[in-house]
Amino acid sequence: MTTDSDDLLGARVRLPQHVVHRSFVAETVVLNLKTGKYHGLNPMAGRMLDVVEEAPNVREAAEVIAKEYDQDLASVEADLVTFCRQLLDRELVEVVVVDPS
Amino acid sequence: MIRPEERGRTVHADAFGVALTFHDDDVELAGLSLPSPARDAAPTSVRHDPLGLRKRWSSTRPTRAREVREGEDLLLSVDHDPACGYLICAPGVGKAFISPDGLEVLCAPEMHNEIWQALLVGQVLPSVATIRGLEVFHAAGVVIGERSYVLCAASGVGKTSLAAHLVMHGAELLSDDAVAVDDGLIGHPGATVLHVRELELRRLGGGPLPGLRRLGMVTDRATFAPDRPAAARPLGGVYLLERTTGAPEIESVPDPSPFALLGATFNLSVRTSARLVHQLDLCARMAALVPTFRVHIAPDCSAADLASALSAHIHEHGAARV
Repeated sequence: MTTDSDDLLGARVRLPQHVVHRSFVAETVVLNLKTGKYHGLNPMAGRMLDVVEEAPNVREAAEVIAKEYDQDLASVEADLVTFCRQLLDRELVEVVVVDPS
Repeated sequence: MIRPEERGRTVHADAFGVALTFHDDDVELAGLSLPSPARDAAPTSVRHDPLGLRKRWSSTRPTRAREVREGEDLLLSVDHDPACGYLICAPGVGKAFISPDGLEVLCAPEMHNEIWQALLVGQVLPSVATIRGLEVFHAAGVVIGERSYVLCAASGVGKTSLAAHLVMHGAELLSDDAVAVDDGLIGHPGATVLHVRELELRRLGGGPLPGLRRLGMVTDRATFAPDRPAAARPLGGVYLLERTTGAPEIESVPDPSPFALLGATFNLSVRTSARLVHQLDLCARMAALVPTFRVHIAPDCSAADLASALSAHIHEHGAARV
């Protein structure tokens, strides 16, 4: 598993097949089918998950979030790395190894 | 009392939105509905067959899905083998096997009385409904004005007492403990009987109760059948009941937390991926489409007062129904 911040920023993160999520008005619910556990994300975290899932890597996801919320890029990158690590710990996302070539 | 429709040695009935065929000529299950003529799905077959149960379960490699204990005593267990099905066991009361598709139930009662029937109706049939794609909520349910209302609460909050008083106010009873909801957001009756604790019975005065007929006792509870059991009806509202120390209040919850609905499930045993995703989807649809209210119940609020307030609230907010 990628743990270094730079590595994680350059990695593509996606939802594995055993994870589904649904958006509610004030919350996103992420369901891990391996554990049968539901996880709640507030609207900000739900948006971060959507962007991370669509972006080619976490760094570009941070750029989208920073622009969208008019925030400092470095702090968004740090937040997003922490967020992704928490999701990785719960097996709610996985890192996709991108072939450098 | 509405009794299941009898045809020779088989008995047809509906419960929790599922058509049932009982292959047992001495079946007598209070509170089940007449079979719906419009139902297309194959009925679930319920059969007294201890030998068949043993054969079907003998080669399984089950995992324990749920246990209910009182101290050291095991009251209820649910085991699951994906290839074989579910085994619900209440030591001293009986066992029931449910096939993986929910179309077959084999029973091995250790006693033929109301306690076995309570296990069958209170645990086995809700599990069948869940396996067959309905969501069963730990809730009382009533029908008022052609809509069903689900009153979700943890055990001990007072669902049964509230349901009893609502029935005495003219509501039709869906269930006092478990209400099934289908994908069309229709609330279905479970067993349309009330199991009233002795304490509440004393509060009710001991005389005849309007709209209710006493059937007997099951353990420490008196069983009542309503004069007007409810049929399945579209959901009109979800009420989340909570004990509070503050002022009593019924407040609208415009953006209900999904966890309030997910946490109100009656069934913690069926944990297949299909069921969990379905549960999430149904709760998302309910949160989006069904008006939801939080009911704060003050310590000094009686079930009668709460029923009056709730009945008035339901009539007042009828225009906001789905």
